[in-house]
Amino acid sequence: MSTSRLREAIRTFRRNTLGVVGLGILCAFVIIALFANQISPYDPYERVGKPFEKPSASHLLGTNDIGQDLFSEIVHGSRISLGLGFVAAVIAMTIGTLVGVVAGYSGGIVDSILMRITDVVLVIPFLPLMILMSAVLGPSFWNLVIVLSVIIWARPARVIRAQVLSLKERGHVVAARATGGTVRHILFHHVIPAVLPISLAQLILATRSTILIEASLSFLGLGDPLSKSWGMILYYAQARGAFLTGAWVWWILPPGLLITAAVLGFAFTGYALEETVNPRLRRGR
Amino acid sequence: MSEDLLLIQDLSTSYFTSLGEVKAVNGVSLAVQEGEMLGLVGESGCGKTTLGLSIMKLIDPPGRIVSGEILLKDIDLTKKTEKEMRTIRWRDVALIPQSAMNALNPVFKIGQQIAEALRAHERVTTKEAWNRTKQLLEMVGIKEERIRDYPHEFSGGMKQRVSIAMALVCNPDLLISDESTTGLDVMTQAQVLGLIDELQRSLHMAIIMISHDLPLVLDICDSLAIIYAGKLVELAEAKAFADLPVHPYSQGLMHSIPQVHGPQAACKSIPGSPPDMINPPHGCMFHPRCAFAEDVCGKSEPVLKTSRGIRLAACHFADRFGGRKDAKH
Amino acid sequence: MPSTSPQAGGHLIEVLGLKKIFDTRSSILARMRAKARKPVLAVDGISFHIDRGEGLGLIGESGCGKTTTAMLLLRLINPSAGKIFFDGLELTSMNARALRLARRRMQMVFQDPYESLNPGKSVSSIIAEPLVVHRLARDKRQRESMITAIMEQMGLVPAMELVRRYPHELSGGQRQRVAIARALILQPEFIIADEPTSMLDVSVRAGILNLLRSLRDEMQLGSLFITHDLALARYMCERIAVLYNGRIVETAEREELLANPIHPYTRALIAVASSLSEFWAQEEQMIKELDTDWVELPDGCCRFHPRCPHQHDDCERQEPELVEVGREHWVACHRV
Repeated sequence: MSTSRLREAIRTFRRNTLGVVGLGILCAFVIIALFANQISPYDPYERVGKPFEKPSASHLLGTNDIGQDLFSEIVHGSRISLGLGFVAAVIAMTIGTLVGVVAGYSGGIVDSILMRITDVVLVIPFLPLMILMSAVLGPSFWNLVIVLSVIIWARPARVIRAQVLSLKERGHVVAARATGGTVRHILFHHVIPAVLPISLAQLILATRSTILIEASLSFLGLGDPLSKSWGMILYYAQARGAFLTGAWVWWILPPGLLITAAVLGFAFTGYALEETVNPRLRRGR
Repeated sequence: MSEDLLLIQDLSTSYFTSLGEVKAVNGVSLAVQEGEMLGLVGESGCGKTTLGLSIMKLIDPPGRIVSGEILLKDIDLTKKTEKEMRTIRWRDVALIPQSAMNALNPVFKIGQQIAEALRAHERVTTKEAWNRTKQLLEMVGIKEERIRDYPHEFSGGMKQRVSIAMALVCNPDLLISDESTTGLDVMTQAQVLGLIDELQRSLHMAIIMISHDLPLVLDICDSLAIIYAGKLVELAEAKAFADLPVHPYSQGLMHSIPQVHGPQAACKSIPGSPPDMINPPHGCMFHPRCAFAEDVCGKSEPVLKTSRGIRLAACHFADRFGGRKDAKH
Repeated sequence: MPSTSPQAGGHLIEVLGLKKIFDTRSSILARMRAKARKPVLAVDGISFHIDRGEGLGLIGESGCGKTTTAMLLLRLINPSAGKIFFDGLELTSMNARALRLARRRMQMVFQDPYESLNPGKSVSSIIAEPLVVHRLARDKRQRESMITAIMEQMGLVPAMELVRRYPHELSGGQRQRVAIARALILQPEFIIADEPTSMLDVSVRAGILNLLRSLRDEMQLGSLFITHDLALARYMCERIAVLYNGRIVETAEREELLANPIHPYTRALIAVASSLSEFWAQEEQMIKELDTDWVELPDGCCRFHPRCPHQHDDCERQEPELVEVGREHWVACHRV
């Protein structure tokens, strides 16, 4: 990958204001997650106050139902929410890219079969399916990851397949075949390197979905009850009646806003990346 | 009152990009008489299309006409507003774009499109418009019954003929053909050009034929202008040019094209590549690639001047080349 | 020239009865022809041969099947019928492994210098690719010196500087030289050039053409030069074959073809290339333009017949075969 093309790509990305904003949000979250221990005033697992305390100087967002500091909980929640979301997205993207490349390059019956499977996965209403799956598998970090990645891979697979289909006809791929390149050579030297930028964009977009779905599932009580993801915080908030009292302001709103912010951050960055990678999506010229 | 139909004086059109000013047309002057076919020849990026679009005032930002005059029948087009240009376009000067795709809308029948082009520029009734459309189709050699067909039902050559018909709706005095046969098959191209040639004669139109195909232009145009890096480097009658190209760039072009008949001469390409239009060379634009360049070439820009009383060329040493029967080196 | 069996120790390339049918369901070619319900017969039984060190020009207009022929020759697409022999070996029935080895000896330069180079690879990586594919020159220094040598041969200098660049940092002419370097680094015996200069600026073309000519002579390459430009074919090749709608209608040694063209299509091509005004003057007798892009022809008639100024009884009944009319001069026309 040439440096001048990379610089060109960065310049294009910078022109997309939403993308830059999104990236800023992402970086902020990454920092929060990495330095959660330093940022949070207390250990989120320790009972450091009376339950249901209102926000005060010592507890910025008050405490939850068992006396743990909410602020610390929420800060640490970034680790779980983002981490789980990202891991699931990575696994989904690996599956999706593999399927997309194999289907796109093989064509014929392999392509048809893989695409029919992809279509089925895309068409099934995912939330009921995921609810069912997590109920069956049981709540845990890795079970959630499995549930998420098993569904999310389908959309990127389609996108990648489309790109591979057009790549197959590109002059340099035909030239590589004319040189005597094996399928393996072409895949690793031409197809996959070209597909990686789009995979990256799709990865970011997938993370947006995984974070949101994980939050939803946890909120419904299907998440790991011992983890402190934002979704779980909301679950407990709702279970303890925070919606009915004034507590929703500091118990429900912050995690909700953070989920929204994270999703937006990933969405903006992902779309901006897509536009950077695929010139046809750009506005204007 | 001058005799020239079109007189361009010192025209400069630039594109203002984020990397700098690109002087696409850089002080070009030329004249076209009534009924004359002038070929505008140059390679890609030399500014010939920009020149054609400038005449029609179809230059969009970030480009604009920077200076100079375009006198069409003694009216200076550079001073006209967009609103005024809309009455001038198609009535006095029309454009045949490069690809029929740029002229034809795929969802409307061609008869409708031609009639609409007419109604947009002249006050005519529907019936009159329809009649004129039929007349135009006949003029370009398309059967009348095809008036209700859609563009995709025509072959490439026929689509170009429809574009030509569209350009002729208001009987313009000047027609600009922007590489309008590039991309067509050799045979079809010949036929479309034959049509253009015939129409030019019967309608007494002047035509500016923009092309990169030098042999083609030499074959059908009365005169030609060679453009290099936004500058006009040679202006000549086609026949005289074919016998003796004067400017070193013209010579280079002529010697780089293989011939079908005649002795097999070795073709030579011109070394180097076209200049960076944002940071053009000092002095003569062509001098870095010129085999005859001397010190003065890098310092001062040559102006278009008559050499040996016969040829307009922008070269400090044009006189050396004019008059020599075989200017090969 | 059309023979029924390959001669031992004979031609470098021999093509017999090559056919390619594109099924309307699968190909992009057919989708472009809106009216085609029948499968598209892109290449319809062509035969020719090329000897070592000899250049054959394949002339025809767009859509006549010339690029398809090139792809078939390298087996980048598979023929529907017919045989291709390379140095006596039958390409059409080779397995993948043998084909890979054969590909070392036959290479291609494509039309579009902007497309045929991988934009993400540097010049050195592009030129080295054939070596990598065939696992040759494993030693890094050996590889680098091979690359530098061939770049200098191509006029890509200064090699040390250009070798690090990427395609978008090169001019069209330079890109095409890189493509040629890539094609020739394995020292093949046969090369196909598919309109190698049509997308380049006029002033740059001669350089590429001259380069190809001198390399061909130096390396004694057999070559197939595909173009729509008769003047180019004359400049580059000793023999010329005229392709119309998937069939070879005439083939001869170049000066013979230009001096004595017999097939009406060949005559038209020459007339157009010589002088347009003369072509127009004779247009009444010359080619009629087709109304649409694709006319469905019944099987078993001369493909050129709808556009032909001459008529003969058999034109609608039978496809004319190539007939020898002079020394190495073959024509497919019923009037002959």
